[in-house]
Amino acid sequence: MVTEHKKSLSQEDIDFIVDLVKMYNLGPTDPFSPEMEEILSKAKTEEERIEIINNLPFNKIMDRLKEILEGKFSVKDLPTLLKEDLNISNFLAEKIGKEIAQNIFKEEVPQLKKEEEPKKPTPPPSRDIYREPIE
Amino acid sequence: MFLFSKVKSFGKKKSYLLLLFCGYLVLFPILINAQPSQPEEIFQVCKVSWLDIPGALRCIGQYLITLFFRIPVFLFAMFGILASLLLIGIGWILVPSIVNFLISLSLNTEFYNLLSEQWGIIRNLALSLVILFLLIIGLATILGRTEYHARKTLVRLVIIVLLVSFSLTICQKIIEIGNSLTLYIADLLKVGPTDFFSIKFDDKSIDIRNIYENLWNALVSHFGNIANIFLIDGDLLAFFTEQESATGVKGPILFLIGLIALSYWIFAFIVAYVDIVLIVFGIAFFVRTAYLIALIFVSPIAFLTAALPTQEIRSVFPGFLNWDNWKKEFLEWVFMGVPLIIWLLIALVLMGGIQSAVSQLQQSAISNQIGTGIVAGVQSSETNPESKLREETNFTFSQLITFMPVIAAAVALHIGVKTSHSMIKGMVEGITRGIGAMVTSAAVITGAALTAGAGAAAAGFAAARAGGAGILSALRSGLKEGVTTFGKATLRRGLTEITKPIPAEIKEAAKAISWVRRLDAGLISEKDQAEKYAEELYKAEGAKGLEREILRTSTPRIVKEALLRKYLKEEKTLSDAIIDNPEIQKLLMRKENENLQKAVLKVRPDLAPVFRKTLQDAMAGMKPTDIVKIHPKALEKRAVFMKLGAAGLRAIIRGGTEKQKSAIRENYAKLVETLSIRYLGAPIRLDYSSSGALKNDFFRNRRQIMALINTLRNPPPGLPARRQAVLQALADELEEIGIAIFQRRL
Repeated sequence: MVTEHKKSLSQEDIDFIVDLVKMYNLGPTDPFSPEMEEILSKAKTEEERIEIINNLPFNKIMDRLKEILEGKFSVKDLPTLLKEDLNISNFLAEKIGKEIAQNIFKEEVPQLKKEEEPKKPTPPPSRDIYREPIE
Repeated sequence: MFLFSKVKSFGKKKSYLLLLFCGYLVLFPILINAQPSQPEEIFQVCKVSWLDIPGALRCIGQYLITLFFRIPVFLFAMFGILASLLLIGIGWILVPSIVNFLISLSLNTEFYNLLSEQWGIIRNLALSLVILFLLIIGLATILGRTEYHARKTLVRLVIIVLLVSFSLTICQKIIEIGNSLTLYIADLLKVGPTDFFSIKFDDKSIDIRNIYENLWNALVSHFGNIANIFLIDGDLLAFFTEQESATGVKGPILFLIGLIALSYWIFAFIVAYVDIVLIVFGIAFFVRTAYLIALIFVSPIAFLTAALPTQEIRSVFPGFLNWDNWKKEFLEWVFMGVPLIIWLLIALVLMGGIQSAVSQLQQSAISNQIGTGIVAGVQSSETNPESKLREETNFTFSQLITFMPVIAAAVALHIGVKTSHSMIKGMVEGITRGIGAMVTSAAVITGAALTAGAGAAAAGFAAARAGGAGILSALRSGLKEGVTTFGKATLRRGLTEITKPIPAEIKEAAKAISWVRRLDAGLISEKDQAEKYAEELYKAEGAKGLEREILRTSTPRIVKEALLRKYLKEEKTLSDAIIDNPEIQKLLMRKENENLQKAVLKVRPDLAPVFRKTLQDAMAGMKPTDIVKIHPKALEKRAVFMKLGAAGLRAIIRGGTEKQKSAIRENYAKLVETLSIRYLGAPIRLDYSSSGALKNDFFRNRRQIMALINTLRNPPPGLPARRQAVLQALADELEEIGIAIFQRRL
């Protein structure tokens, strides 16, 4: 559950998110930057451009934080949500989630479950040549 | 109802208006008894030329305005007359007879014979205490205490015990001596024995009742002057200021009619003073009787303590029970009648003597030399309005001659009573202070009556305006001038001086009443008082109370300034209601209020033109911490918004309120639209109704906005450097806000 004290993000919280996005090279935070221009140049239509902007990591993180503040999700869900939204590794999602939880919500988040490795099929027992069949 | 409907239907027929106009032309000269083309008076209230219709209308209009002041003053004067009549009646009929009775009672020794039975009880108690005294003497002798030694005290005790049994007789005899001495002195001038207020002096009969006769005559002769409250000039300017009116009357007339009303109250207070002094004189004798009875009762115990005049006995029997104190008090009260009756004689002799002197003065040439303003002032047949008016205002002082015998007699009695027993002295001082407070109150009420007139005038105008009476708009300026000059008049300063003698306790208690507090504030004329009032008001009602009084029209300027300073000190800023008030803005333009003005401009730089300053000056040197305090109303102004700069905007974005941010959003959208039309040739329209709407529109128009910013940064060649700098600054602002919108900070 989200902490009951926080109702909205402060300017310092936004500063923190901006720095975080920049630190992990997740995407642009300035609408007039060349990076933003480059990303948007791929879009052909106006709608595509708006969709790209809305799906920028900064906006995605802000959307999720807004939902957490609204009580739709818990801070503990943040790593999972970030992993899905930003398409990043567990390790990175956990790291970003942990930092946001600690710095903005002053909470700890549990570790994500480690990805299960496929079990190697156990080879059938080889025939014991030294064993005499019981007859 | 019938008459009313007739009048109503008459008013509707416009043809009658013409008839009325013709009637005016025919009758007006007759009404004013005027000669053609010569300015004449209308009932002394103003001066207009014949057929000068606008002049006559203006004259009547001005007079009607002054009625708002005249009516309360007239009512106040009427109450003064009623109070004078009542007090003269009481004094004439009741006071001398009551006081005579009280003096006779006090000087009657037979009265004390009736107390023997009650005195007997105390005597028996005192005798029973003799055993206790013997026991004390015995024990003290054993213990070797020399002051109680039997040899010294026993004989004395036996003698005292004998005296205790005769204490009533001894006291009666001493009182008889005191009374006889008093009556002997009274008899020297044929006073009494039943009427102490009538003497034979120099073959003349003097009666204290003449005081009331004199007062009555003075009141009757002055009564007719009450009409002057309505008849003195109606010139609005002369009514409020020191200017001279067309009829030659020098203003301020309002102050003068206030004095006329006050003169009736001064009458009342002179009569009240005489009444009270005489009553106190009688009460002094009455209290003497009561005290002597009490002292006779306790005399057996007091006599007994004379046997053992030691510290221990004084502690056990303190005050009147102890011989030392009893003796002093008893003798003082017994012989108190002697100085009192001497002062009564002095009063009567003074009254008789001064009365004849004044009569001679009035008949002699000296009275003519003193002039119309004094003795002859009341009887003058002078028709010049100004001199007549001056006579009116000097009336109170002119009456001093007439009142001299009365006042001299009353003062003599006053002094006499004050030199008597300390208790009576205290009582007289208390009553004198009370009278002083009442006189002051009357003066304050005169001021209040005038203020009420001002309030009524303002209310009348408001009602008339609401009714759509356009003609009154011409008079509005007259009223404004009147009220303004009234505020500037010295009346307030004078009243402040008058209220100073009111005891502080009464002032404090009265402040609990809101209208008294307001009235009190209305009389403040000194900065210190105003600061104190602001402090008290803030303690009692907080910032809301301060704001209410700041916005009240009747609050004096000096008080408003103190309240503003206090408000600013406590709240760090001024409220919208205060800042937007034109009267306050006018007040802040005064040089003395430069600091207050600066404080206002800090939060409302948009008001710079109101204070005849440039926005540049108002916002010069503003730090981001100051910019965050700028009121949203100011931020809504394009000029203020453009002066903020990127740093200022950043400060508001980071630390501003939602209202400030909303003002920034609105201005940003409008600026983008204006600039895009000018520099891109096509408008960029952004929905600034909410933060989310602006964000969406910003995403949609990001490219165009970016193009606009680039255009502003690279303006067409040939633009002046100053203009280029402005465009550069605008580009920075648009970029700053754009980033803030993208990052959801705005």
